[in-house]
Formats: sequence, structure tokens, C-alpha cells
Amino acid sequence: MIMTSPISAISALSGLSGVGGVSGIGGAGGVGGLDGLPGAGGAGAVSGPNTDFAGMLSKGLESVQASQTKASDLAVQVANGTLQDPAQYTMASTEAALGLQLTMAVRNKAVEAFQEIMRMQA
Amino acid sequence: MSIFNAIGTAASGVTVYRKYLDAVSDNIANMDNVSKTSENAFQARYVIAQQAQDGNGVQVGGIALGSAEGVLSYEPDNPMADTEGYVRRPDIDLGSQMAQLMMAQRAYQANLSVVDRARESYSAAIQLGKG
Repeated sequence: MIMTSPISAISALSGLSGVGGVSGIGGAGGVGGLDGLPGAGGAGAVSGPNTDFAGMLSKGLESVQASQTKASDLAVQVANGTLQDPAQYTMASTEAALGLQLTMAVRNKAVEAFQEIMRMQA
Repeated sequence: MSIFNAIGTAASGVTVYRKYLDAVSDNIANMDNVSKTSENAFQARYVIAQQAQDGNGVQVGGIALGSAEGVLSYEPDNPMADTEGYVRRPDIDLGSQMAQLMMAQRAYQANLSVVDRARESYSAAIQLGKG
């Protein structure tokens, strides 16, 4: 599936269980161009095996899942008193929160597109 | 490093400058250590900063040590003094350490403000997607 429908985007989201389904998103769509400042030719990054929207979506979900895990690990360290630098935790949680916001934005867009299609007259 | 690269890059800077602050505080804390002339003086710690291996940000490449010889000081009353009345003190200049402390503090804050600005920018971009 080269250009997948919004419906498959939703199924890609629901395919991830529990918190992961909500907390993901990451490099979805054009955002992939941001990965890695050096090289990675800007907007041209949307090529190769990642052209598949659902594939990019689930890759992004995984990366945000990883940032959530990192933030919660650091939260445990805060509780333990083993954290060396409080900024580490605040930055990780900022990153995780941004990832979650981006997930929600993309998810809402996908649902919106799905509903738009469902409203179509025959 | 994945998305929100600016935050990760600035975070590496925060980590490096935190270590710089640690090193300076260690130097200031040990500034007045006295050792026997037969032993090494306390060696000042200096953080070596270098570009991160993945090209995103900065990392600590190692720690350089100051002079082990230190400064000989004539203190015949000191119980640590040798037969000629000398002790060894670390070669650390408080003025220089205070200046480095300021640099480390301001650079730490600068990196944190990069995180803050990046967060604001990313939030604005996400807000655009919500409309």
C-alpha cells in the first residue's frame, strides 16, 4: 500500500496497545525530515521504505513510546534520589509530553479524515 | 535522537555544563588542601568538551588534571611540614575558578533556555496541526 487511506492510519494507531497507542507518533509524515540534522536531506527524506504512511506512523509511535519510557525511568530515579541532574528529568518529560501532543494531533486528524469519508454521499 | 532534536542536543549541553559545574565545585572545595611534600598536591579537574559522536550536541571527552606538583609553601608550624618547613598546596586560583563557575552557570542556563524555546516552537507547530 503506497498511499494508504486515513482508515489504515487509524488502524495503525489502534494496533498499538494501551498507553503506547496514545503516547506515540514521532516522525510521522513530513516530520521525518527533521530526523538527524546532518545529511538526511530535509524534505526529501520522505522516500525509500518509509513512504508508507502507516509504517512511518508506527515508527513514530515507537520513538515516542521510547521517550515516555525514558521519562518514567527518570521519574523513578527522582523518587529514589539517584538522579544526578534534575534538568534531565524535566527535559525528558517535556519531550514525552510534546510527543504525546503530536500523537493526539495526528490521531485527531486521521479520525477527522475518516469521518469526513464516512459522511460522503453515495 | 529522534524527533524534537533541538531538545536532545540542548540536553547534551546541559549535561556537559553540569559536569563542568561539578568539576569547578570540586576544585573550589579542595582549594585549601595541604599535603606533604612527599605526596602529590590536589590536582584541579578540567572537563574536556567535544562534539558528540553522533553529531548531535556535545559530550564530555574526558577529564584533564592540573599540576600534581602544586605550590610549595613555607609553613614550619604546619604539622604536615617537612624538615625544611614546606608543605604542598594545590595550584588553584580562586579568581579563575569563580570566572569558570560563572561561565558554567550561564552556559547551563543558556542550554536550558534553548530547551524552553524549542518546546515553545514545537508546541506552536503542533498547535498548527490541531486547527
